[in-house]
Amino acid sequence: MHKVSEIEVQEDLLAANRELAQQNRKLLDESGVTAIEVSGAIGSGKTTLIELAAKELKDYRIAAIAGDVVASLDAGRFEKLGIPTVPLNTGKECHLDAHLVSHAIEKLPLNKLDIIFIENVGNLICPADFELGAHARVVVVSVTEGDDTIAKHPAVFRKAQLAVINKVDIASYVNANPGRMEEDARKINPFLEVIQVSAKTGHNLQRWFNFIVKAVEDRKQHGI
Amino acid sequence: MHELSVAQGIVSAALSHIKGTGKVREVHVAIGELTLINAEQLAFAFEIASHGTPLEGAILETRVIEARLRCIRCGREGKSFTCEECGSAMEVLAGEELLLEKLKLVEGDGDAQGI
Repeated sequence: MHKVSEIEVQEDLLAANRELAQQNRKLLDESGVTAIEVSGAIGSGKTTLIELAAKELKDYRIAAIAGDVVASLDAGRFEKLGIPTVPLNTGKECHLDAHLVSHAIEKLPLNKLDIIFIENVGNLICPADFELGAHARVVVVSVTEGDDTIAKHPAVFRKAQLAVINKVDIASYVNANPGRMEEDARKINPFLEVIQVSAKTGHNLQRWFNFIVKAVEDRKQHGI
Repeated sequence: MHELSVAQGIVSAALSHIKGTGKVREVHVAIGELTLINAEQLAFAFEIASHGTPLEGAILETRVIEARLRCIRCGREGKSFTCEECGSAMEVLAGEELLLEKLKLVEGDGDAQGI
């Protein structure tokens, strides 16, 4: 005779990550630090946009957490700017999660910082399911990914506050219509702020910097 | 593709619920339609992640939790991200979960078939 039994569990496994993300957020709020997550495909310009912001926003004390599957090339670029940097090698993982980020935050001098940029692993898919606890989520796409890339990856844009469409200076060379990309992004998320920039020529970069400053001010108003 | 780490999460969560000596035969998981988790890849990853654990050989049964969204302005429910009625944003009511629902075990001979 074999007795079959059932164990009812009903445990949400993604909820565990969300709870950790909330703990991260709480720690950041208590420390008066604004965290900005930057996601996007490989080569979209995430690292460059963070570098430009770190150079521009001299009035703020900035740090970076750089997610990479292997190596620490991005972290090396941030270190060159003289900002505190934590490289986060995910090994086989295709995304950062709240647990990994909590350990990276621990390594930073929070009471001496205003802004932490968290650069996610280059990927438009997996990071969408994993909140990190940042105050704002930014997705960077470039026109070179094809102007249907936003329509193809709605989840990550649904959870973002800002979409940066980068490399618009070469849109015509790759037959991409940045206007269509902007329209697709707004359809997915009517609250999403969308800006078309060129990190190379400097086109509209001021709007990227303004978004960061506003995120800091918003947190100060609503945070602790 | 992060099904392997998700599968590892399922294995460690399931192991924390197993009591006694029963052999786990089925692990039931519900996947929200809005997550980016692929059920077939997850079942394959589960085979790998459960290897060498008391869950080895168990079958991962998956079902989909349908997405349900509600307009934050007019309250209309639907599945699209923008309200088809008034164009406003939708809040997610269901579809973002990854639920470990239940485990089925058989007590006694671990080789028992046909449960």
